[in-house]
Amino acid sequence: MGRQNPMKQDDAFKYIPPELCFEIFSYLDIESFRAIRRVSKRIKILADASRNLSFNCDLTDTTIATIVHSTESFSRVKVHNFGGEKNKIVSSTRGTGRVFGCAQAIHLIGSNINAVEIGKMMQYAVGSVNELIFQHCSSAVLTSVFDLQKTFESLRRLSICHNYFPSRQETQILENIGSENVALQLPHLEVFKISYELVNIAYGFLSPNDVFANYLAVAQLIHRYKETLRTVEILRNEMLLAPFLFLFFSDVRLSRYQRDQMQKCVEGFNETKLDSLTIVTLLKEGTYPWTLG
Amino acid sequence: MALVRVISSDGAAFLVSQRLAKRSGKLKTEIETFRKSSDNSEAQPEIRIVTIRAEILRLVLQWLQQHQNDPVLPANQNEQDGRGDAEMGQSQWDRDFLAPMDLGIVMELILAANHLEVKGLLDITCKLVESKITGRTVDEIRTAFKLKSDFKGNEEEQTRLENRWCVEN
Repeated sequence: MGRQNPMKQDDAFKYIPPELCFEIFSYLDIESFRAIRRVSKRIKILADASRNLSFNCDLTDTTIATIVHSTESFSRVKVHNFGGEKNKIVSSTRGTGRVFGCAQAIHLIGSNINAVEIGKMMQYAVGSVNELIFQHCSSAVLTSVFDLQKTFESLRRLSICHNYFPSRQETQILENIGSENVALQLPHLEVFKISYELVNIAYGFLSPNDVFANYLAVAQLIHRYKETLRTVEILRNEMLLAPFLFLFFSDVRLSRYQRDQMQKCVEGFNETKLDSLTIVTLLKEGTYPWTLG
Repeated sequence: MALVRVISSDGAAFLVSQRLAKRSGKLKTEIETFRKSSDNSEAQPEIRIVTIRAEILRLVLQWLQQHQNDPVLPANQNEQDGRGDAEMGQSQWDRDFLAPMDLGIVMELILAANHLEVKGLLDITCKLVESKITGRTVDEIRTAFKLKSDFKGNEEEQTRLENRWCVEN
C-alpha cells in the first residue's frame, strides 16, 4: 500500500509557491506547456511567468532601451510614435525579433512612427499577430507592413483608424488591402474596421469619381475577403458631403472597368459570410481610437 | 555522535545525527544559531518545524539518510549547471522511494524540501510532478491534480489561441 494523502479539489498547487511552480513548469516540453496553460487561470499565470511571458509592452523612444535589454516576450505591443532614430530595434535585438516575435496584438499609434523600422520588425510578427491596429499612422507605415510579401498566418482583426492623410490615399489603401496580392497575405481576416475622413479640408473636396472610387474600393475589399470576413465597420464623414452627393452622383462617369467591378461586387454580395456590415456616415468625437480587443 | 532533535508540526520527535541534519540548509542554520547562543557546547539542539507533519518529515530524513554521502548541492545549482540531481538521473533507490507516493504526498514533500533547503530532494520531486504533466491532455492533468477549470466565457478558447504564439515551435 503506497503512501497517500488524497488531494482535495483544487488543492494541488494551492500552497506551492510561485518559484516552485516555475521550477516545475519551466522544463515542460512545448505541448505539455500549452496544455498546462489551459488547466486553470492561476496555473496559466504561473506557467506564463515561468517563461517570462508578459502581456503588455509600450514601445516608445523613451522605453526602447529598457525593452531591448529585458528578457521578456510580449503578447500585446503598443508602438507609440516610435521614431527609432537613436535605437534601431532590429539591430539592437540582433534581428531576433524578440519584441514582436510573440506579439498577438500590435497597436501602432502616431504619425511619427518609423515606417522602415516597423516594416523590419513586423516580419517577425507575421506568424503570431492576431490583431493589428493602425491609428494615425502615415501611409508609409501601412505600405511597409503590407509590402512585406509575407503571409500573416494568424491575423484576424485589422483596424485602420483616422489616419491623417487625404482621402485619395485612403482609397488607395483600401484598394491595396482589397487587392489580390495583399489578400493572399491575409488568409484569415475576419474583422475589418476603418474610420477616415472622406473630406479633407486641406486637400479640398473630392470629385464625384473619387467618391465613387472610394465606395467601390470598400465594396471590392469586402468582396475580396468574402470567404473569411465576418464583421466590417466603416466610419466616414460622408454626411458632410450630403448636400453635394446628389450633384456628385449625377456627375459620376464610370469607366468600363469600374462598371465591371461594381457588377461583380453586387452579384457577389450574397456570397459573403458577413454577420455584420456597419457603415456610420458621421464621425463623432470618441468614436475612435479603437483599442485592442 | 552529536545529535539533534527535530520536532514535526504534530509533535513527533526525530533524533538524528547533526552531520545528517546539516545536509538540510535550514537545519544547518538552526544548529549553528543554537551553538552560537548556547553556553553549553554539549547541549543537544531541538528544532521545531511547524510547517511539516511527522509523516513528511520522516520521508525527508529517510531521503537524507540514503543520500548522506552525496555532495551537497548549492541552492542555485539550476542557474549554474542546469538541473542538478534530477538532470543527472535519479537512482533506482529514488525511483523506488517515490513510486508508492500519491501526488498529494509528493506535493507536501516539495514544500518540505523547499522549506528545509534540501536541493536534491526538491529536484527529484519537482521532476516527478513535471513527469505527471508531460504528455497529458488538459483534462487528464485536471483529473490527475484534481483541478477545476475556472475559465469563464471564451477565456479558455482565448488561451488556446494564445498557445499559437506563446511558445516557439
